[in-house]
Amino acid sequence: MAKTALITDDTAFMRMTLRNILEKNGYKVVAEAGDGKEALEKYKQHKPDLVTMDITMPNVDGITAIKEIIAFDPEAKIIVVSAMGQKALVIDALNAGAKDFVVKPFQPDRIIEALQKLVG
Amino acid sequence: MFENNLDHGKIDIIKELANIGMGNSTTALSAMLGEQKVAMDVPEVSLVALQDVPELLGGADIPVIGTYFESRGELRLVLFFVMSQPSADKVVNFLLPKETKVDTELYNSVLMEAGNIMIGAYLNALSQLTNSTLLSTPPKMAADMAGAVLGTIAAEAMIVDDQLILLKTNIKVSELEVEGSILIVPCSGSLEKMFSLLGVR
Ligand SMILES: [Mg+2]
Repeated sequence: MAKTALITDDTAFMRMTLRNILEKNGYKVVAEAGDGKEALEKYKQHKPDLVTMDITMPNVDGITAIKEIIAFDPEAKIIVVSAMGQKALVIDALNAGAKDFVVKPFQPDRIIEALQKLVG
Repeated sequence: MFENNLDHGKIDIIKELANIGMGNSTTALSAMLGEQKVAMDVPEVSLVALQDVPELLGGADIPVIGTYFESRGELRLVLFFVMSQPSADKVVNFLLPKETKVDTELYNSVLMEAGNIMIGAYLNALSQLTNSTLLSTPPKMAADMAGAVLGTIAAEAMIVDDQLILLKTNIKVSELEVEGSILIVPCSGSLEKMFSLLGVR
């Protein structure tokens, strides 16, 4: 069965780009979220196998959302996809429970590689 | 031309940081545009009277589209990525898959994400150089005449005696016939903070 995914990013364009990449590679995108608050709600609702998480977002940022999702489900598989590649942020995200960190702009292969490492 | 605490040595440092940061931004833009060559001018650092900013953006009545960001970490900056309307159209068309139905939300979101990635790349470089963490606000649009973009700058930046310090770099993508500018305006106290992070007296 296809692995399910939740895409989190504040821009519609990036959500569309990630959706296209995931669907082309056999993943099923079950929901999209535009900020960290929505991400937690959609995670609880859909329990996806995988989550992509932006960092800079309105309302609730990505690092906070990672912590909240991991608090709800310690097994959650989250990869960060962000333009902010600063060392301290990568460390914060990994400490919060993210499994990988992809810096934008990315090659589609880099996303798929990160997801495959998590769910085979 | 600058107040006496900003001597030539310090201006050189600002220029070099801008050069590295904006170099990172153009590399990011090039990667977004399928590795097309993105040329970049040497950054200019100037003290600009507020009323002269629209002229730098091409004239008060010229339609420009800008995405802007504030960095709210250890260094407070206002950062803009500005393009003419035709250039913005070409970038949006290139980045969207063919036959995508484009509405205003999607159009704006392409430009916001392109700006987000470029400004993110700038802040990543500056973070490394100053060994500090620089967070940015989510992108905002300033799609209007240059005169209105000026209003946005005026509201956000530190302005002393109607003047502000402006870092400007023009970029050009020949293949796609796109031209734009990256503008950075330091907020109050940011330059002093930056020099102290760099250990410059
Ligand atoms: Mg984003």
